[in-house]
Amino acid sequence: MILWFSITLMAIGVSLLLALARAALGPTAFDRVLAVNSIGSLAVLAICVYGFFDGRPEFLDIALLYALINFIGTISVLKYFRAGTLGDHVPPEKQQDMQ
Amino acid sequence: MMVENIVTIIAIFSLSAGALGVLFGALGLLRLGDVYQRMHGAGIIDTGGAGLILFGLLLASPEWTVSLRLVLIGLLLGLTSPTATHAIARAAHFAGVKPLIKTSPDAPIEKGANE
Amino acid sequence: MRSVYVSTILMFGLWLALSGHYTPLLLALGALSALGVSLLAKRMNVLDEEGLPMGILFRLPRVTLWIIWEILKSNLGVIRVIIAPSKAAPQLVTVSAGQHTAAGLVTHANFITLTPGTVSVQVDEDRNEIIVHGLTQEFCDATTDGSMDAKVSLLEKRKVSGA
Repeated sequence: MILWFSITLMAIGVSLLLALARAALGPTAFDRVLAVNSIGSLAVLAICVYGFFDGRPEFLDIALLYALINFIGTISVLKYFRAGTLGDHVPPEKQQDMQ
Repeated sequence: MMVENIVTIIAIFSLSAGALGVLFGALGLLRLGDVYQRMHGAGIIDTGGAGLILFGLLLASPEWTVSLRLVLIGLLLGLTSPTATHAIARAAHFAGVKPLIKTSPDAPIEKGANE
Repeated sequence: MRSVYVSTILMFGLWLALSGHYTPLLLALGALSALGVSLLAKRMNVLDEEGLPMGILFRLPRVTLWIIWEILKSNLGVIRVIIAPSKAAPQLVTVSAGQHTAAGLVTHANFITLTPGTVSVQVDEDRNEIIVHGLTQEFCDATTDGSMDAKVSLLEKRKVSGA
């Protein structure tokens, strides 16, 4: 079983590198956000599989938190693109974009 | 003994399929044409790849508390990843990124949305 | 106030399952934090029918199995396109949604994005329409033929007559 965990871990590692290449190449900013979001999902999976590989399933708690923070991070970066701020205050010149 | 073997085989099969799915998803992220098409590649990582890997781990999990955590991670990914993908698509759409459109397999690719 | 009790009990159950420590002090602290979070959620006005949809929970398993099957099928389709990217024929199509609540519309858009090959780009709440980016013609047809619309409507509460 350990063998299969390590094979899965290697596949996730290669995918991480491919996603990283897209984050570096990406012509638009949205390509980069998409790639970083995928890297987050892959990191969650890697943490889970590594917990089983090492025989320490407590790692799953970390993966749970990582999944939440990954989502909040993506949404806040997108909001920052749109509004130029993370708080409730929206600069007047941006207000017509917000609908 | 027999049942355990079958469960292990299914777990290994599911893990390998998930690993392949993750690889193909990342390949799609790299190969496809524009932002909107690459989202489908990212979708494979988040749904097929993650789902199959988590299902394989679920079958290999030693305790029920571990299984519960895996199910929670699966639910969380299933709820948040489409929302994040939709947020990226919407943000790109409103920022004026036009998708490549191809109405039939033989037609040339044209730039611009059919709105 | 009933929603506060239900959410406290649900959260305390989750805390019990995840914590693994069962001494009286920690149990009391866990119950207190579950109650505190529920009161905060009540104060933030997020504990309504959308935040805690109790009616939907019973109809969920059937639709969940169906969506898992759909996801597996369309995963294979997208992988086929990734192997040969020239097969991709991306399009934007408009899907009309039969849902009558905001939560139903969001569920429909989420299901569309959840199946690889289709991504919901824009949700129009006034006209009950979702603009969808599909990777090929088949994926577009699968969302516009109304089968997913019917499944999502199953999850929704029956429309109250006269409403």
